[in-house]
Amino acid sequence: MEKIINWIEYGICILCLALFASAAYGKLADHETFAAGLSRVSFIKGAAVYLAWLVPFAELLVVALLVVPGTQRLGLYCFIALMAVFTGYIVGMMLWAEHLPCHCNLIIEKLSWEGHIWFNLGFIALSIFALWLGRATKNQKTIT
Amino acid sequence: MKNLSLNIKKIALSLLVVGLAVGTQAFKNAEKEGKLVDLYWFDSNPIGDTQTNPNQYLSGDSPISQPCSGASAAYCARGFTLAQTHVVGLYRQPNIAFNSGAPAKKP
Repeated sequence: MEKIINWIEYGICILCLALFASAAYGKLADHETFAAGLSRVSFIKGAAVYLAWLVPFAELLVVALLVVPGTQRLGLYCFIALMAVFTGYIVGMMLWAEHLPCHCNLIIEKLSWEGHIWFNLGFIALSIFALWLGRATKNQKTIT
Repeated sequence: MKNLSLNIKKIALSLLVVGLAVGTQAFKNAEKEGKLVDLYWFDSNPIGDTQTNPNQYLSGDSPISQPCSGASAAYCARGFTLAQTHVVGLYRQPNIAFNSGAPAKKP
């Protein structure tokens, strides 16, 4: 049973790292478009140049943490934090921005902005579930 | 020892997934920018053939699987096989007129 739980936890990590790896690559490969898109957003205009580098490198850092089994839990915490920031950004954009630029990748590109929020929330829920699974098995180990 | 080998397997699998994700994204980006058009489309005018419609060589109908006609017929006549004509098609100069048909980038 513990083995299955470990693999489920690992599977969720794999999903998260695939998402961030492709997102980071997309942002770095088409960096000019990404930076130009950010500079058009009124509330982050000033920091757009830095954010355009910071975001993909933060994603790559999370990917690295998720790849190494010893740091996967820390990676999941960072993943949740970043996804929460992205979701906040999307909500902010929907509330205040006139234009809604999207530099999303793969399937997300076809989603609406509301769909994008649900997608992010789904991933956050999934990673919280993975952390909970890990903690539950750890607790069970200490009891037995 | 068993744990170490499991960890190595997990790292390898994770890296494989990263590679797949990045590769898919790279392919998608290249497709968006029209860089694959040259790979998909066969040379429409290899040796002065003005009768060929380039649209007949879209990715769905690779010239390798098509009968030896049009532009490929010109190559076939010179002793190339269909597979070789396809390779010749890969090395031709980018055709701006064809690339202009690629989907525009998002702002």
